Amino acid sequence: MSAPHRRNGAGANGGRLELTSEFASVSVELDLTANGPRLRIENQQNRRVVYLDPLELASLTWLDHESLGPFLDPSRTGWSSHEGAPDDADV
Amino acid sequence: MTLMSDPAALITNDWRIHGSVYTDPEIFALEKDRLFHGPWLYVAHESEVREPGDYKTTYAGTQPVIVARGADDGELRVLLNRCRHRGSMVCQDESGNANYFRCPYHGWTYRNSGELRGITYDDGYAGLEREQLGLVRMPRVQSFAGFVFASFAEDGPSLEDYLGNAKPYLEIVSQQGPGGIRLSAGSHRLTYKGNWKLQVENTIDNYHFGFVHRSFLEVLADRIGEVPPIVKNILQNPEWRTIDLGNGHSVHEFGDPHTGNNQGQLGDLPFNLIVFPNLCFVGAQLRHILPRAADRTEVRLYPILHEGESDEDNAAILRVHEGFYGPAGMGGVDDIEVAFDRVHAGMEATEQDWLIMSRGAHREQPGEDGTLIGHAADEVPQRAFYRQWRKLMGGAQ
Repeated sequence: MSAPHRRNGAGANGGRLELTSEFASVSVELDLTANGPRLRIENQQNRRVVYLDPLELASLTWLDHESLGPFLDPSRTGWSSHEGAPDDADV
Repeated sequence: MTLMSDPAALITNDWRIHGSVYTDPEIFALEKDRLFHGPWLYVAHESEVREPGDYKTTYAGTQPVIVARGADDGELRVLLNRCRHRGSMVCQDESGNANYFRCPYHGWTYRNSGELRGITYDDGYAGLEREQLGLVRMPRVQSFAGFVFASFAEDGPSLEDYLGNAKPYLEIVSQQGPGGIRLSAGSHRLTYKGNWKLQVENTIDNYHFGFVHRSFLEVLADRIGEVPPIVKNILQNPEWRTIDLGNGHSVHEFGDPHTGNNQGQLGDLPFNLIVFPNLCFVGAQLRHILPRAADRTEVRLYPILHEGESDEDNAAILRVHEGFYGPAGMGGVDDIEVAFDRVHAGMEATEQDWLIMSRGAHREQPGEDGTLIGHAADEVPQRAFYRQWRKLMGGAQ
């Protein structure tokens, strides 16, 4: 018996994976519209999208979680008074 | 000197306990300081936070905490679940996996090891000492047999010294399945308007079983075709015994602590165990008692599943657990009504405001390692608890 996913959600919708925690919700899917395959990640809370190619994804495996810290600083990713557009942030 | 200024006087030498121990907000405030801010407090079982990034929310005594396994180092930490900005609980879910936590109030973001990682619209602050504003960590976290405890005290007895004679019983609990145990079914919760110690006392109180649970015994008799042997064992079986283990811990053994069985379709743990102050094991469950106020208590019941056994066998554990302890079960609801609600209501009559906790005091026998052994239906566990309570609350032992 595996541990049940309680309030956290995960599931597949066709080829589209959805992952939700109490802090964020994203969808992830394989994108084949360009000349090569990419991974498409969409923030479900503000619809912001990023495409990552195989080399970028391979390089991500070298990361530890602390290295991702700058992207987790909200004033650098969507909540900056100087740069972030309010309608671009999941407030 | 008033009773309030001398908590030791609230328990007499002939084991009368004053009602204010259960009802007075000042006593509860003193308990928060002396019972729940220093001694070891249970917070989790390792099976609940196995993977890096896993976390659960719970309480260390009376304070909300996050038990988190480090994203990069895999270390278990216990963090106070309170944003350093304006006080909101940062994590709300009972459990999850996250390497960073973001407060829902204003978006302050922390690593799951506690450090403040970022603030939204941070140009609004000048000179904020961010490195001082991580989630507060409990200074000591230790595990024994997979059970994780934390302490607010920087120094003090080791967890193993604190657990003392309770250790062999915790080891037996941890070996219930061929591969150990896990709490992956989560918990169900009950709340009642009454003092938290009522639930502790009720966890090992064989005296009440034939009264509060008479309807359950009648159903059980129909099911098995004979009078259930539980009450007869409680009153007559010399191998069923209560033991004061020291340090406030106590146990009731259904015979051999490795193989005993309550024979009551209550779950297969071979004993009931109380680990002072608020961790209990009974039936097939870990019971975490969370004091919320002098007159408000939450209890979380975690069925203990067996690692290495089939889904069917583990489902059977859950069904037996639900049958007695579940929200629609035949036992737990009676305890809530009689042992908690009616006691709380009755104690509003205060002309003779003393409870009697002396049952079997005259026949306690010394055992090994400073233990005291009594009959199955004696109030040995309650006295074990209150000896430690009196010691920590500042009175003579």
